[in-house]
Amino acid sequence: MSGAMGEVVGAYTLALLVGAVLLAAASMLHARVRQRRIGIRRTLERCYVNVLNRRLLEGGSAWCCFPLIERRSSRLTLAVVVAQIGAMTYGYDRRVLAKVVRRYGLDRLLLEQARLSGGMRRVEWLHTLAQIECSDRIYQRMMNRYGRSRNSYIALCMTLAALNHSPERSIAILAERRGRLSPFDLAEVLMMLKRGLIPVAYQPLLRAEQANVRLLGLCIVRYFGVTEAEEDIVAAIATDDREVAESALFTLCALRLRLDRELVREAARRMSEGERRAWYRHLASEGYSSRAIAQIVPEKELSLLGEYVEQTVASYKRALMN
Amino acid sequence: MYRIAIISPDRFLWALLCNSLSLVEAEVACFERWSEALIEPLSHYNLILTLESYPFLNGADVARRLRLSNRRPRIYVLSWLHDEQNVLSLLESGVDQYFTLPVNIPRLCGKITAQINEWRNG
Amino acid sequence: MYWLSILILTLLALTLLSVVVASLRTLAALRKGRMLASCHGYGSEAMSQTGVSVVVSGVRSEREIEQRLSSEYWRYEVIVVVDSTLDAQLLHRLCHKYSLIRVNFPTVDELSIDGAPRLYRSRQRRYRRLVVVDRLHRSRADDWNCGVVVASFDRIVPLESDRFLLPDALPRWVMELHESGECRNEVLAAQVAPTHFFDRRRVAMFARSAVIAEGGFVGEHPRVKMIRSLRGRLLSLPLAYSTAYRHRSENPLRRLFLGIGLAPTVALFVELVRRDWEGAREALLLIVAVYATALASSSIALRTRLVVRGEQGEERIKSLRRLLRCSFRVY
Repeated sequence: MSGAMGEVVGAYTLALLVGAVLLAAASMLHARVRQRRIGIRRTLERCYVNVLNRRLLEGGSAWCCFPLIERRSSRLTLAVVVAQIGAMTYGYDRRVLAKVVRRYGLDRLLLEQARLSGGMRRVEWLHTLAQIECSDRIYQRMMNRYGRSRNSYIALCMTLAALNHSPERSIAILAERRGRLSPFDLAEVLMMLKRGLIPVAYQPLLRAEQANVRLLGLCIVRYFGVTEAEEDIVAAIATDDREVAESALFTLCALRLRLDRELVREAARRMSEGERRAWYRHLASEGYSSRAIAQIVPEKELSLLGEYVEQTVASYKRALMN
Repeated sequence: MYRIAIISPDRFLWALLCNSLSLVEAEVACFERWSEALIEPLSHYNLILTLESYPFLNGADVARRLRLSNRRPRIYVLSWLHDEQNVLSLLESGVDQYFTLPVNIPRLCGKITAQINEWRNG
Repeated sequence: MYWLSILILTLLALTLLSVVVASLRTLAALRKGRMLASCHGYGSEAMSQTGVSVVVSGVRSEREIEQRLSSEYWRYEVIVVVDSTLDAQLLHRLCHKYSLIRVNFPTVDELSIDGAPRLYRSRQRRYRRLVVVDRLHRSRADDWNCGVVVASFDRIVPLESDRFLLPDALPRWVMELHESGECRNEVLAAQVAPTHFFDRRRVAMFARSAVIAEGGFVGEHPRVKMIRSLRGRLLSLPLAYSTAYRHRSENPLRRLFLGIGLAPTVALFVELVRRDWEGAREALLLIVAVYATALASSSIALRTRLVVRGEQGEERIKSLRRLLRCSFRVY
């Protein structure tokens, strides 16, 4: 080994040893600081939940006092508490929560915090911001900054914020959304709907042109078991949009509605054989009889798949001869 | 004294329920997990509020065990799930009430207060 | 000696770099999990229509089944494959406890199944997630294939008896599946806790149709083979844990560093025999470099493991102290 290489190895070793020791020391310090911070945050959270919940339960106009609120971290904790109480309850006076947000500038603080953070931390703050009632100015600033983001989670936060800010425009907001709503996005919108923030009018949603709106409509129908929407669901099966058609088929089965319709048979014909088998299995597990399923098996495959359907359904039911 | 146990891994809901129930005349104990709660006999409680429903559905059969004890507590389940089969399964396995989250806290407290009054009147 | 030094330094630098990258990926995946857990729609029935069938081979007690039925995901089933010839009492106890009745085993043409397996389902709605198959145990792959045949859902998670899913595993898997896109969703593999970087132990969620197209699970390591032959991706997060004891010699990082450290050790021995003290000093320096890299990598890996396990405050400090004491002994 040349002398130069020896020096390189020595420097590498020294750097690594120092690095490892520093990392261990930093980890210990970080663990201590974090422990203390988490302890303080949990205590404050509990305290803020108590103050805010008591005020919401008892009503009246008295102002609530939050300890240590002058600190930035405490105000962030309060913002999370306000968002969580809003998300977990309904029937409370939302004006009280809005007043707390305005008084302590929680919306501005959350937007600032989102700007300072990156990755999933930013999404977390924006999600919290989307759940509280923010002022027009902050809403505009947020939309200007993140409205065109290609990150799917940030796009979802922006949709939720828009729905929260102007619930009366909910159909328009969903129709104008550029990307397709993923199942997770739909679930988050539905949670907002459950809190009573956006109206549950499924008919205009199911009859809309846009796929996102129809998907939400189908999701609502399925979730609340609206069997009256049968005709609209069947109409949705005939659409060219594959995702909407699949969701409509699933909704039809979830509500245990009749399958012997030409549109359903047509949808079954459009599937590949593997998809068809998967769907028959799903129907069998939902409790449909082999006769009901056989009605939608394409005629030319009846000899092949008829046996499969019989066997699958029989595997869910007690065989009396056994 | 009417005794209530809250079993919830969600610390917000924990704090929220604890605070709301402090207005009713009851002794409230909080547990993060069922494993912690099951250390002491749950039949000491009059009401169990839980966010975790799996002990009723996985064969551990907590509801049946509670039913066998002398004092059977009432069981309320709070859940984000709305699935019909899930709700029916829980009711069949001995759960008394199923609340879907988000929950109306004053209404929940009202139900519990009515329960306490019924218990007091024998 | 010059080229040996360059080779070893390059290997060490690459190993360290990959540990750092793996660690950052795991931490990012963990942060995403925390973000998702704060969303109330996550895991609800509105989130996904995807159903998951968990197939378990070699179950020995009811307790193992209870643990597997304890997921809060709304659309899943647990298919337990037992062999009543090994333990007749177990099947009897299961039938009694879960009110199982025998139903027809579907003799479908999708996969060939040996023997005459018997299928049991519960009469009670609350145990509808449990499916029991009784068959003569030949291999793990055959048991899993049997589970695939009776699975109601399109996603399959095959497990051994000593592996259990973490509480949040199913919604997370389904979430990642929706983000994968159609061309990479045949398999989603994840790590098994307690995890080591570069560990080849994996759990995976397979598309049922892809498993059938491949002719089912085969061989002694059926999952590894299937993961290799299907298109998908690896998640940098443990979604299952193993109760099987692992000796520290199985740690892949340890094996790697022992391998790298072998060359300078031999060189040191040769230089000592030749009485070339300069060469011996340089070989010794290389060995110290290997040990320093091992220490740094293990400290990064352990810190990540502690974060993944959610250890906070005092517990984490204790673990880090233990690391500093043990590192020299381990590597």
